[in-house]
Amino acid sequence: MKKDWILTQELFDELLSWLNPDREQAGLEYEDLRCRLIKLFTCRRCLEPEELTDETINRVANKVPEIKDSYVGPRAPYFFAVANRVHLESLRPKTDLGSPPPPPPSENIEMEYDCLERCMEQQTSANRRLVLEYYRGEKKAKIEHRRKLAEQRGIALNALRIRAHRIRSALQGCVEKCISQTSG
Amino acid sequence: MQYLLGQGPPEDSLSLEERLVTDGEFYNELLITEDDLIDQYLSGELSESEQESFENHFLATPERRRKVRFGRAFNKYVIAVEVVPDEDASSEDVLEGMLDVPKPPPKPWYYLFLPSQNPVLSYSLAAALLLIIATASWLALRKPIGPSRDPARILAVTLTPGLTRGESGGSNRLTIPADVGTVRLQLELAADEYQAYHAELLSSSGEAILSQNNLKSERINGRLIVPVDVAAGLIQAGDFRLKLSGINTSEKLESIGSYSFRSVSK
Repeated sequence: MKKDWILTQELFDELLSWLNPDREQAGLEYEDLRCRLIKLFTCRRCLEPEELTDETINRVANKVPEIKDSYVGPRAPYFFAVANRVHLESLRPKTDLGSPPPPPPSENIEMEYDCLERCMEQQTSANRRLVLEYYRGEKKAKIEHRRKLAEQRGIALNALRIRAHRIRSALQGCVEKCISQTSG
Repeated sequence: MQYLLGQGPPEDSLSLEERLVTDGEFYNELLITEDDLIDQYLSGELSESEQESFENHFLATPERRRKVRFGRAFNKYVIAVEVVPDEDASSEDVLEGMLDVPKPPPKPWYYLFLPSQNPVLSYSLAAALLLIIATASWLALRKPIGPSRDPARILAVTLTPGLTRGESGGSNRLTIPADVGTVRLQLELAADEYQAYHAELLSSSGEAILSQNNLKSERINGRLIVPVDVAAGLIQAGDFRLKLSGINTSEKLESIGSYSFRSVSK
């Protein structure tokens, strides 16, 4: 894949201005777009989603001076189009994952569990309770349980889902950090 | 879910992927569905063909394999830990800090040593136990304390909103002394427009490290701030970002700003 797109501070600033004239808002939009692009490449089973994302962003940033005056409409579709091209190029030397599939992750999770206990302690009491209650139960009982939980808290089920997911994601991040510290 | 398992038609995949990049709500929905799919896999709820697709397709990337490992530990924890039923979940502030504490036993702990048949023996046993505890505590206190972190030692740092990419860290730069256990990140606000706030601490790679909900604003030295307490151990040398959102009346999060800082080794 061609990788001679360099991102200078000037181009990065211009990219942010193109995303949103308010720099703070532009920063948020930039971060959100970056996460979504990483997920896109992950869904396409690319081995290095972060690298492909950075390559996509660098290319868009290099194009901004050219297109900023004529481009109309939301910016995300433009990123998507560039990401498609980057992905296609990445497939040429066959970096996409092929067979054989890797074995399922090990069931030895002692370290994860220990870290999780520590990370749970860092959460607020309300957060701990929310995730424990939300992820409790199995199959159909779980769905009904979550509906009741949302009702009990006076919030929409979707708001509850998002909140539980955010806490779970934060816990995962904390556990991964803890593991990397523990294993040196 | 079919898309995540690689079972959907390719033409559908492209339109789903476009939404993934262009539609924030859809992106969030996909992340939640991934978690649900992982939980279903771990609890054996997937059909045989779904399980095969999960292992051959979904699990192909390192990120998702990490998610499954975490999911396994998380499910084990959820099953193992008891939650005390919440009688009034809506009034979280009032009940904060005490709801997940198991209900106290109906009788005091020393009750075990007080069988009515032999009170002398029971009191002797209780006294001996107290003596052992006191000796052990004294011995523990005599040990020299190393450079371990003391959670009560708090380093307060006020952060102003801003970006760091391409910069050298700017003014949001902090050095945490070895004995500090808690870092209080005081996020400066322009206006106090919400009853409560939500903060998420992210590493430089965008990985969530900590999420705190229901935070309240305060005024310190005339500055409006939202304090976020973080265990110092979580902040290693590197770049970090705190995303601050306001919680609106519909319980939805509204982005307020992003606070970047660089932690440097002492």
